[in-house]
Amino acid sequence: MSLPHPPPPGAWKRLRKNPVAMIAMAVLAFVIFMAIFGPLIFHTDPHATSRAQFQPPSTKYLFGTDNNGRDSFGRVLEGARISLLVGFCGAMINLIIGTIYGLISGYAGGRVDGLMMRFIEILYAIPRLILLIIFTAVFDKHFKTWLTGHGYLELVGYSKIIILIVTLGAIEWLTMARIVRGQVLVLKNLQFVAAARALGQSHARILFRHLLPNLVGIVIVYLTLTIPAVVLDESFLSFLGLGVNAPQASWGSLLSDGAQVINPVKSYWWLLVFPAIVMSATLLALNFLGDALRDALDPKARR
Amino acid sequence: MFAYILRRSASMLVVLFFVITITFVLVRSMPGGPFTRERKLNPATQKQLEAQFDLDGSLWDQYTTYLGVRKNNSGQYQGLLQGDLKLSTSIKARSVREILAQTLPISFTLGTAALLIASLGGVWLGSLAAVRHHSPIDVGAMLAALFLISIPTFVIGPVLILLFAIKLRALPVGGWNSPASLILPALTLAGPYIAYVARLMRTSMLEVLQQDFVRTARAKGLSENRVIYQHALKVAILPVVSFLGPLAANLLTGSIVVETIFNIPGAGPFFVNSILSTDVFLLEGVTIVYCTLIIVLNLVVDIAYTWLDRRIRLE
Repeated sequence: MSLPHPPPPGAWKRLRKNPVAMIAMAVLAFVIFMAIFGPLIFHTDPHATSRAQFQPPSTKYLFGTDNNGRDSFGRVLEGARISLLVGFCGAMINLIIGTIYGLISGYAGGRVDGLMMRFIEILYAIPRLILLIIFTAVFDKHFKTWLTGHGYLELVGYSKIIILIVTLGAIEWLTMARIVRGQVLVLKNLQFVAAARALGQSHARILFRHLLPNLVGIVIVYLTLTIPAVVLDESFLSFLGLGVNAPQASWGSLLSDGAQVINPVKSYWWLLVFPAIVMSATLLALNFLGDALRDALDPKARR
Repeated sequence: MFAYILRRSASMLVVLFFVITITFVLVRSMPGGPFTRERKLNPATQKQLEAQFDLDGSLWDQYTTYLGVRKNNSGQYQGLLQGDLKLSTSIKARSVREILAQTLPISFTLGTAALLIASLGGVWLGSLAAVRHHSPIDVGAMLAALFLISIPTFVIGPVLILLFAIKLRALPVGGWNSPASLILPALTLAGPYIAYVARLMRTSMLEVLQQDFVRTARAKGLSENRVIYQHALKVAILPVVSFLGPLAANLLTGSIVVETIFNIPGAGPFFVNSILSTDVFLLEGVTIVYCTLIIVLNLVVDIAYTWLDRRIRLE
């Protein structure tokens, strides 16, 4: 499944003709807009408690209130901010590591390539989420101690989020590295690379000026597919109570709160349903967009 | 083939050693040991507790004692090499081995049920979609797959509880009392992976259906069902077989969440609690056992795959 290089003309046109992709982009744009500007427009305070506990959705509380009388709408917006921030930043780190690793491995070839790929195989065999859980727990404590020791007290509350971004950024790059390597293996045998080498250009220049631009298409496709993976991982941790710290909220911790208050006697369904819909819609949109981008950039792979 | 198995087993041991070492270093370097409480223990008691659990001495001493190549404070070799996982520091008078022996079978039952549902369901759905390529069944199945991949288990789980346990009262809300209490957790755990397997199976089946031997089988006048489910399936299933290793790993980690949702007394909740209470031995024990299981499973799957692949090529 090799991409034609450079990306075929009309990729954007094909994407625009795909109604599913357009709807996905609209949903994403709306969620991102609300995450950034929502709290400013609606003046929501995700941490303000009140005596109005477990209020069902109404015009005053759009998504109802939780056990502390906090406005769920504001909580979901804060969740969107944190989940998306972790998702985008984590995916970017993955992208950088994966691309550089794949570039070097594919370009070097031979023994180096064999060794680097063997290393990836080994990492694939290790249950990453389990190690990730330990990594975040351990480094969060270290980082907090360090922050307190150096007087960055205002940052202590964000320590978990920073650690989450870094550790999540360091675990989902394996697939990206493999795909980039595969592309480089094809690309480096093409004539423009031979020409660049004949002109006496350095390896670094060939890698970053000639090979990298030709990888943009496939890298974007896998970026759109890595973001939902990272968001899922983060919410997995937060659901278990090992992610963001209360009172901060991410979609995972909101869902965990919602799942805890389900019982046969009285169900506070709004605490579960709204975060679930928002999160699922976002992940769906990202996955649909990733699939559509792949189709648009690589018409041959379309089935 | 024998050389291949030997080589892979050797590299497996190396990986295992690294995992054990990394886990050890990470867990023991955690600020705040297992005996750090809100109220500070008096130093003498703390010392005594540390000596009792072999947590005194340098990191290197602790490491070699834990591996079982150095005598512990009671003058014996009791470590990983002897199959000893030590005592839990947060749950009184229970050894990590005891806890795992009690909880792992439960996690396994759940995981195996989910593995069966995911692989069988996925293979069936994927082949169906490939055979009816471009039909509404194909489009519908792939759409459903994308939905299942995007919706996390901790959304599916509570929603299933809300529907089947609370509204319809057809199945238990959670716990581990009857075979019926296995149904919802297994479905929840399997959900996303039915979708992964179905997508994999569809792609591979579409490719195989284009190949010459399928055309030959059809030309021989075999029924369409036999062509697809006997000849094509045998080859098309290979990518799914190689996915079984990662699948098992994902199910094992995924079951941590599912066990929490459904209140199942598996190993997952103990793992989470061991982190929250810095129970070093339990945390190391669960991690090492999980990783060993997954690495061995991966090895078995890889060997099985190579064997199948060769047999098919030789045929």
